[in-house]
Amino acid sequence: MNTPLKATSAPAAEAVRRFVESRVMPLAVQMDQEQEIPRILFTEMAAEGLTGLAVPVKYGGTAVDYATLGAIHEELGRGLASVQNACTVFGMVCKPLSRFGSEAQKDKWLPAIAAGEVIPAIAITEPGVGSDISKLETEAVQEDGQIILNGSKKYITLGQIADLFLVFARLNGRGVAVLVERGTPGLRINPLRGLMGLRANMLAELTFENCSVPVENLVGKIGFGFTHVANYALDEGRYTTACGSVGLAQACLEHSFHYTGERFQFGEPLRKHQLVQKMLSEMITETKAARELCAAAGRLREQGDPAAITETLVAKYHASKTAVHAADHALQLHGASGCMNGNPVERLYRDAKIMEIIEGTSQMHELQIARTFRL
Amino acid sequence: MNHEEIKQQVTEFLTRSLRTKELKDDDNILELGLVHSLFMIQLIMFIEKTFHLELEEEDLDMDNIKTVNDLVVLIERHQQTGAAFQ
Ligand SMILES: Cc1cc2nc3c(=O)[nH]c(=O)nc-3n(C[C@H](O)[C@H](O)[C@H](O)COP(=O)(O)OP(=O)(O)OC[C@H]3O[C@@H](n4cnc5c(N)ncnc54)[C@H](O)[C@@H]3O)c2cc1C
Repeated sequence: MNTPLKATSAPAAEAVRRFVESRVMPLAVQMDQEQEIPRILFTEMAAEGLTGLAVPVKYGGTAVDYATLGAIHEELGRGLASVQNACTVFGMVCKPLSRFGSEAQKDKWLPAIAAGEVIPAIAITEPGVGSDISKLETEAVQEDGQIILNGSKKYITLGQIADLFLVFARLNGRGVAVLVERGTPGLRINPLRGLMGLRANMLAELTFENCSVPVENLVGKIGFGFTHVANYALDEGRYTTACGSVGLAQACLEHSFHYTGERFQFGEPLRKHQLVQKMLSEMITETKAARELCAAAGRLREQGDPAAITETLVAKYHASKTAVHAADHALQLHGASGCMNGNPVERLYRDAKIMEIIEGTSQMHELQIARTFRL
Repeated sequence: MNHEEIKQQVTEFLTRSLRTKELKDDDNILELGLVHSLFMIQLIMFIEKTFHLELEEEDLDMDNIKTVNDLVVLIERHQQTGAAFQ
């Protein structure tokens, strides 16, 4: 069940596979049920280079190429989607910070994030604004060398434990991105528990009440918030979410493959029944197709081809749908046993659906794909 | 890359990214309503990878890069500065 992506990037992905199998998978049920990733795991991830994947080497990161990044996220997604999505968030903060941040910001934050000492989060979504990010309502005012924030953010991955938030707001109608440290007066963090999937992602709602940070905390110029910084982050997030979705689909396939080999009905293994074979064949084909779309997007990203952005949209759209379909088949193939809490396919089923919502819903992808093809 | 080659690359990129058949050197892509939400990140990717330049924040203001000519000027200015450092 090895992946073609691994051929070009074997050492890093192999190491991540070993890490995932020894450190993530054994804790997956616990993380899902207790709704948290233990802090120690972030330290271990840092030691594996997983927290610095989008951090330039100069700042202590691993700054891997896109094929390797894709292969790593596939391995993480195969292990636990919550951990994979946590790494996506690290990338969504570090990538734009590396590109648009000031030298002082980069010096201060990137090495600490890569070392696993600082956990970042990205705060775009608001209670009233999800898909239509150009309508964000959180307000920023510039006054006496300070940026003062008022508003709220919702569904922020790692929000419960993050040390640093990349917050998007509107200043005189123009988009801005601002770094806000945990503990800044005026920032309130309320945990959001009871999520259906990605339960270990420690989501939070953030409230900003006259929350004041130095103007030096702006990332990029005033007006760059949405067009430059947020889009840069979301594009990166879409790629790694796509690859994570492939890993999730792969996990569904592997669990189903083994289970249908061991479970007998009507005198033979489930796998020998043609209707079961149909489901497994669909999973194999769709997962391979999704992986190839991710590989194509990764190649274009590495080349800097502008088509990479659209290919990434296509890859995320298809891969997240593949994950949902594969999880649906996996659950069906496991019958009642798959419906039990603690069975991996039950978790995969819940996690898969979230992949169709984060970093842009499937509908937003359809609209964007239609727009780029001028339909 | 000489002036004409840069202009050709820029025109090719813009027509592809903005999905327009034709673009004159001084056509204002903002006024023509061609710019889509992902344009800026495509542009950054294109310039940095094709011309091996690192753009400054000031370069990325849409108001300063509305035409083929604007972009060619920007790229040539960076190439000259780069050459001066060598
Ligand atoms: C587990 C999880 C983690 C998350 N982590 C983060 C995070 O770290 N940071 C962050 O900022 N956000 C985060 N989010 C929020 C996520 O980005 C949003 O949920 C997502 O962008 C969709 O926004 P929404 O939920 O408000 O849905 P809405 O925008 O309200 O959409 C609801 C439904 O309507 C559809 N819809 C909306 N507009 C249209 C249209 N024009 N045409 C057709 N259909 C449409 C959507 O596709 C969707 O199906 C997270 C969400 C989850 C579930």
